[in-house]
Amino acid sequence: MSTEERIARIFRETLSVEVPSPTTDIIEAGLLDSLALVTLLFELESEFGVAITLEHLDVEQLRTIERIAALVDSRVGEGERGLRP
Amino acid sequence: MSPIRALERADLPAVAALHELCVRSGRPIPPRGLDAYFARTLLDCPWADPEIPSLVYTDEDGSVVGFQGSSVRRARFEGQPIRIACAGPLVAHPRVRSRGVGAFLINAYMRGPQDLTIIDGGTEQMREIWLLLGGEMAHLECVGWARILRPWRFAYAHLRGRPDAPAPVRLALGALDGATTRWVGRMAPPPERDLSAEPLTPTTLLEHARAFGEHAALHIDYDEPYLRWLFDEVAAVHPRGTPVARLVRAPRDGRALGWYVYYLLPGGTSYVLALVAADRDVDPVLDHLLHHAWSGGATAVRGRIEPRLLEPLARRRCLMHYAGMALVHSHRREILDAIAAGRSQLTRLDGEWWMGPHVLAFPEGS
Repeated sequence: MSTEERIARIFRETLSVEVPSPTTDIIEAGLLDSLALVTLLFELESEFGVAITLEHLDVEQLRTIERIAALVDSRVGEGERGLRP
Repeated sequence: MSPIRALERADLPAVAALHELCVRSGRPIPPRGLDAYFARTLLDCPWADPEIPSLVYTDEDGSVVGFQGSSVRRARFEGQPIRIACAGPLVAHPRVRSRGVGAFLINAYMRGPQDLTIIDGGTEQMREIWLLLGGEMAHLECVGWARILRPWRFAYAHLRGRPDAPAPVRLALGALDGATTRWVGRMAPPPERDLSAEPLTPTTLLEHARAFGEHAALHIDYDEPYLRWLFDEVAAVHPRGTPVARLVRAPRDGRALGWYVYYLLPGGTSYVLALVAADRDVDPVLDHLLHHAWSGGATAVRGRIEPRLLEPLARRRCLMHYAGMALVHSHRREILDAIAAGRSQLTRLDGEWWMGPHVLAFPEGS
């Protein structure tokens, strides 16, 4: 399952939000209130093992599932590079 | 650049407008005086701390679209000075709510340099956000107590959602209350005890605060400028009632037994902000408060549970009920443990619960 599909599943199963496509503007659609945002970050950490904190986050990075997937993949990549000797 | 920055005085009109729109009337124009209220309580409080400021969230064009109020309290934990951040009003403009503005604001506030962050009376949604951000519930502080003094008038006001009643109804309810409190033992009026009391002033509170707070690992470290501000601001929240502050003394030797502060609302529910006494003296101080409220015409007295009050309240057949979320956050585990263990003395007077931007009446227009 791709990163985008796993994120779409988080939206569907945890946030009870059906996002039509990876490019749907989640913010414009009003799908990301404060509780949904914090829950999403918590679930991303659980699902992918990456900590995404609000301090270093631009909400634009969460505008679509496509962008969230890019953010997650970059954090996963950073984590893997950090593990190299 | 972060959209979050410290509140500045020039932001106050925008903050007042946002609060009016989101919390008060739903209209975009705030009443005259609301911005001044925020100035007094958030910027001009003697303990306002530039390191733990109120925060605003600005849009791309610089306009204020979110606001997190901050009230800082100076305290001592195990004798050492600490700072407590009381998270005040949190508001976000409806058009940016889908951007998680509230979460960004509360997260930024929680990550400040304070030793402890508290919310007294958070919502269910705030609890969820708070817990996901690493905060905890202060379970005991979520429990309230109530002593019903005039059951029929209390029930009438509770059912109608307002305390006032037409004169004939008021008379009938008064007669029913008189009979009930006379003949039903558990509803009897609070007894008048042989005690003396004097007005509690900032000076007398300061004089006795240390003695009454010493037993607690965590307590507020009052000073006179702060107490003067506090007494003035508590008195300013008229809709809650008339503030009553008393120092209770033993009749024979004049020993100070404790003190209390509450809002007396004749014909309505009176809310206790603080009742402080040594363990052995809680009973007389509580009785004095209840009798005072009864004499003043209150239909009920309500407060928040504190460990030392539990047993005295239970013996007086007070009702226990859910009173809203009390939330805490700290990077110092020992502080959270002290609160959970009931070793703190933080009353409602010490938080932001009593503050009144959402209940105050102001003249119309701006």
